[in-house]
Amino acid sequence: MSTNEPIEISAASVDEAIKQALEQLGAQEDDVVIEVLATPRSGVLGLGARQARVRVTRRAVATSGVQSPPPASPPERRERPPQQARPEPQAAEPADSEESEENSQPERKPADLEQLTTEASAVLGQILELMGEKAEVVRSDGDPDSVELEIKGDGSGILIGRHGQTLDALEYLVNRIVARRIRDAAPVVLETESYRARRRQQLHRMALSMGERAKRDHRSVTLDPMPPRDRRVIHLALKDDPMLTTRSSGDGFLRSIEIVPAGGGGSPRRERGGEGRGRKRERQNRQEAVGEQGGFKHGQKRIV
Amino acid sequence: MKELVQFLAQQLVNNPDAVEVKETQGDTASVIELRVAKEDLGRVIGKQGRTAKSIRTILNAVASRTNRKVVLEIIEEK
Repeated sequence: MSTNEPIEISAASVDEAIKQALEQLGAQEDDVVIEVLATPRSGVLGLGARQARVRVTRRAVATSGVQSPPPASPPERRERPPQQARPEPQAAEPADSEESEENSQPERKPADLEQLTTEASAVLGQILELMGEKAEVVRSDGDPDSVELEIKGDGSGILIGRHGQTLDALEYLVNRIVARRIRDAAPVVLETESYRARRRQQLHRMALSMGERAKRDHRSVTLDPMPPRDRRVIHLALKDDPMLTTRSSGDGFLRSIEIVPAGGGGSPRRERGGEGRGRKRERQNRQEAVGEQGGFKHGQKRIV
Repeated sequence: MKELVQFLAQQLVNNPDAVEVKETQGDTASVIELRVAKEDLGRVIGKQGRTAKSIRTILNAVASRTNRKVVLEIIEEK
């Protein structure tokens, strides 16, 4: 499961960088080799400031034999950036029957999905019960190649939350827990009261109208940052329009889509497109936008 | 609520027996203290605190039914 690939982390302090690295590797300090690449410097007015940087390498044979997890809970799966290559199976890890399949398994067998459905429903059912919700969990029919579980509750919207945050939280935790039990589990999607479907429709409509605006104004339109699932809907909504292209930029939860009309647009303009995802962030965006155009009066062309 | 945190934490950690949850009820809010084995701290916090945030979100959804607030504190032992 674990690799010996070193990872490099920057943070405000050396301790913080080490802590983050350990968390990312899910390792203990004793299991790794830590090299400090740079010590932090505060600099003056942001000039000459430098973050701490460490390189952390897992020792070849971790102590996983000693602290081998209970059978019911295999070691946590670690999310890695895709470019970081698949983790190689580690010899010291307790042999796992699926180990050999892992490399030669681009496709999932229906049986896996059935097991996944069973496990995920059980976990979700227990959470809902402990939440005091009277709800039933069923697998939505539809795509046989993925697992979508529908929560049939009392329709109060409490399981959706503001901007779907409760549903997202449930989904995240269910996936986290299931991933500990099933190796390489496909993501499970949770749905309730057609929230996800409604959201998709709403995003689709917004994509089309923002696309129209980009074409009409001959300038690109940048939407608010959105999670991958939402961005996907936008990309798909506009992919067949020869007059528009879409591209994403930014990192993590700040990643946002820019809709660009054919022939390139003018400087991107911030639009209150998608749902506001946190006021602080919006303000940040606005500041960035202002910074970009800094010094130019409205309507004035910017010479690059 | 306490049981919910207990369940979630135990499902997420490598040492479920080390999970300890304490709940203190106030007038309008409750404080839930969660303790886990040192090596599991990262597992209940998650990358960028995402797991902890998700647990808090769910707790507050439950609490909102009775117009209450919940504070989840993850306690790090010295």
